[in-house]
Amino acid sequence: MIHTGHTRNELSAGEPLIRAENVKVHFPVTSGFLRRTVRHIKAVDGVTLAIRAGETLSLVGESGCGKTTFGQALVRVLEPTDGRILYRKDGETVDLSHLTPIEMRPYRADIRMIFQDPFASLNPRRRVIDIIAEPLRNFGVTDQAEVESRVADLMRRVGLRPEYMARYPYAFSGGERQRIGIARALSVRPKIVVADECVSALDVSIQAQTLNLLQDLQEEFDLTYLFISHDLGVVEYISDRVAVMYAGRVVELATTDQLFSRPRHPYTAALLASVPRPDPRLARSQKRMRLKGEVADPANRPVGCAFHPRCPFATDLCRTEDPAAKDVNGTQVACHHAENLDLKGVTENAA
Amino acid sequence: MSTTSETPVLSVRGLKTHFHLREGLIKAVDGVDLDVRRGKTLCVVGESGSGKSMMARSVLQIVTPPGRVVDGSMMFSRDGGGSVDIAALDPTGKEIRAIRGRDIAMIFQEPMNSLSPVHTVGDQLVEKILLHHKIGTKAAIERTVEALDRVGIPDPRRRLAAYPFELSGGMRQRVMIAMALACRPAMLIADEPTTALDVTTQANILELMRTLQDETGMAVMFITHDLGVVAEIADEVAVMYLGQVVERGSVEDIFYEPQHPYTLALLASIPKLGARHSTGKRLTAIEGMVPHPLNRPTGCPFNTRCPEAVAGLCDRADPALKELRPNHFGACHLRDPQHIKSRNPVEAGV
Amino acid sequence: MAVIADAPAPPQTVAAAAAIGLASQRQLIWLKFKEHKLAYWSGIVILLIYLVAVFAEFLAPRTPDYYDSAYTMLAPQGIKLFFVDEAGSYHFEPHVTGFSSKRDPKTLRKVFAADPNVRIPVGLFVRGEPYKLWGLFPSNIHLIGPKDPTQPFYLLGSDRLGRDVLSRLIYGTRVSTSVGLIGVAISLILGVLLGGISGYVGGVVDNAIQRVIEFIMSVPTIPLWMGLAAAIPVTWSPILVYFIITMIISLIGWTSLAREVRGRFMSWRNEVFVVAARLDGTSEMKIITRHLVPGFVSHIIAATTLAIPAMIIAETSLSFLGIGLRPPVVSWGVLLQEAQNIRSLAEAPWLLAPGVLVIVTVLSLNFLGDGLRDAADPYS
Repeated sequence: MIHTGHTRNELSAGEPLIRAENVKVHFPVTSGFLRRTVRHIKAVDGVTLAIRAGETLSLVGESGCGKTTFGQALVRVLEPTDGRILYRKDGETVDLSHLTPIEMRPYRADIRMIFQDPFASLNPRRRVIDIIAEPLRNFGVTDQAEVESRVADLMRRVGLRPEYMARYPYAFSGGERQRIGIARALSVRPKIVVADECVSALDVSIQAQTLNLLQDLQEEFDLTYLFISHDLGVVEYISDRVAVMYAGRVVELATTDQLFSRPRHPYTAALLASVPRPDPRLARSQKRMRLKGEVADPANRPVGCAFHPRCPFATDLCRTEDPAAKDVNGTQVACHHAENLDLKGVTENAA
Repeated sequence: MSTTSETPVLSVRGLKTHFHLREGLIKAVDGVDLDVRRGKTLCVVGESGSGKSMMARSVLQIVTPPGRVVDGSMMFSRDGGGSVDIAALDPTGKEIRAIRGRDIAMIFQEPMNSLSPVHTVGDQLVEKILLHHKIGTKAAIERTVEALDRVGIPDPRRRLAAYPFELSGGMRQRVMIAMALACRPAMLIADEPTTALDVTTQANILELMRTLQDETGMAVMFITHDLGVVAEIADEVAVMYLGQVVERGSVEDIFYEPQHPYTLALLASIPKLGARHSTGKRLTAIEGMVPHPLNRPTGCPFNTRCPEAVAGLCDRADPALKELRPNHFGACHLRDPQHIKSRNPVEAGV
Repeated sequence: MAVIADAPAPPQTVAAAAAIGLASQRQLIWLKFKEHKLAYWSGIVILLIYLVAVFAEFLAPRTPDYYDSAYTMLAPQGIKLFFVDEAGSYHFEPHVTGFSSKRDPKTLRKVFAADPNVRIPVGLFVRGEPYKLWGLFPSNIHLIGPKDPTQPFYLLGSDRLGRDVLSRLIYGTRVSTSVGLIGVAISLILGVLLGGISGYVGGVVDNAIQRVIEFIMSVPTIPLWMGLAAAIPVTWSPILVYFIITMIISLIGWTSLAREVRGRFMSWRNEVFVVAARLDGTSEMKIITRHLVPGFVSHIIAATTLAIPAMIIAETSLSFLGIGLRPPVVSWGVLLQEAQNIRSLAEAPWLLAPGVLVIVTVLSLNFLGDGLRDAADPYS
């Protein structure tokens, strides 16, 4: 378990380091010569989420649910259409949501990102040392000897041989490249790291190494992670808390234990039931919940609860009224019937 | 679990597929033995670079040059008797083309790449049925509707006029499956068919494949890297590493009695849902990286990363795949009954 | 991907460096380009042609305007290295065969016939007609020529005025290839500027620029050129005409380059590594100069190389039609225009030598461009 001064079950522990308030990211769909906006794709449609210092908060959901877009808004690759992103630095709170690129620069060192694709995210024309040192140089470390020693140190910490710093990325495997990406994220001693599907492109054995590394580094550098993933197995392993997204909104937010053992939202339960388990007897023993239909179209959100067309428990209330998030036994859940549903979580393997 | 003595639909022996590159020889598939049986699913599991996809492509002789099947046999037995060695066929010849699509069908990870974007789903399916069967267009359309209905596409008659881009990923994969099964093949090769899909969709597709297999009794070769998927769908499993099958057996054997150190390590390295609190906090990772195919280690392919490797043995000789227990094969010196006997006669006797 | 060796030892060759990931982009491009044999040799041919263009005055035995009305329409003379004297022994003396004149009994015209008894000694670095190299350095040394400058010396034959085809071809090479280069340079400036703006700013500006490009591309080129070229006053000096023609040609050429630049800009602006650099706190200016341009240059060079042949062809066609460059300027097109009659085809095929050179140059440039384009992205 990760020891960062608090235990998993203490929901109240840890101050929010960064807080998203009703963040919306809408992409206009244009058409015609004059590029008139005909409608909006509501990729993120009102997400409120507080990430506490030292925790790992995971954001899960299927493709198109807006988890990646939210991550990009948080690190300000994108500008949110609406809402606030409150970041606490040296006792003061700043709203990052509409800062210009120049105003944003001082915070770039604090809020870092690890990317999904270890190939596309490293410029093939630059040497490893230049890649890792780019943020260092941008934030004032210009002495070549110091840059070299710090890059060597970082490479050692992420498990790469410092002798390779003069090489170009094409000589490295996917797992090694992801380590380079991690070293780059950590080179300026960030506070928050947004890891967007950072292990999903890796092989299982490399994935395990990388996850262990992320945990070690969290302890060592006192990091806060926003871990974006579609892989619930990985999420359960690494997170303190988990937020489940569907159609641009958070439908359930709980501690990892609670979410996996006692999901409150039908979508969470369906997700958990769909994960293939590496245990043949278990996999074949139970008849599990299956979802019909397709993920909601963010350009054409269903009326009422966005999940109702696929939900086996949907009632007329769900079809007309959008559920607000409420607290059910410590879980934040946006479902009209959360209190009354008895949903199955995952239990430990029988083996 | 014992398998019947009936002839497997596909029996691969000593298959080698090599790529002659300027930089050297890449042994993508290097001596693979396996059997795919009627009504059963064989899962071929491995990491990237294990040669699992290349092996599947070799079965249909669709390896792209400079790759070539250089050795081995692939006996394909049709239902009504009569078998043919696919390895001996000309990759561009008439016989193999008759087998592709009709007797052995294949589906891929990204259905968009195997569907024509400019033709409707209906046109493509009808064309395929007409190519392999001498029936009228009307009958072919009926069969198409039936095929789409069977793979759970709602309102199949209306979907005939849909273009692939109008369908979601899951629907496209269903169309691919319908297309693959339209000619009632004896065997289906599925190369990571659910990897690009979301979990909820994946669960539905896997369930569909199982149902269809029960209905048709076809043999399935399922290529995947995901052990969770293997546990869901496999009857038998072959674990590949660097172009070789290192362990082969029933799904129960592989998951509950794994023998090869690589299988053990692979199983230990996946995060298991619901298991976090009992097994502790760290995942057991396999050390190091998969060696580059041009830089294969001598001896056992896994010896550079194997926690049990014995110097002087594992880095010298390449272990052969041996039957360790009935229908459970492994390629490891340390699990070889002869080796155990010679090292520790007392223990082996117990 | 390459294998990572265990001990980092300094690699001996570029290939060895590439294998362990130490080779830079430039080295990788060179490595990949060299594999493309056809492109490699084409590159050497192009290099030679441009060397000829640069040192035209020195390489040409005569000046382009030199003529000797005594020797019109002569077939090429071959250089012989030895001659046999009366005693039957061989002597080393490079020479060409001279001529003796006779009067045609019917037409009473003077005709020249090759006379093996007349030897015209030939030498290297001989003194001949004076010239100014690049218009700056006066000299009269020619790489090759007759030791006595008044003697006839026509390695590629002579034309109807008794001018040396070889010398005119060499001077024509300078004009034609430089039209290609200058035309491409203007296209490049326009293309990179407008394409860059289009790709970087996007939106309405991009829309407008793209429509303009489409409009220009839709105009049939030959009539447009003809119209523009016909509008050039005959009284203008040849040099001015030369520049105007270059401008007219590059007016069309920039559009495809602009599209190339725009396309690359658009696809690379959203590359993950560019986003990553932005998150690293890198300024936009540095992103362009450090991340975009280095990847760009190789593609632009390849596209530019592929654009030159079109320019050369354009100049040749215009001049051939008589609306491009005009004598006394010598270009391949001008030379071919002078050869456009049945008589030259039938009696003096050597006058078509510029045509051969156009084909060789255009093909070589295309092969070279293809090779460069393939090598431009060594990471794919």
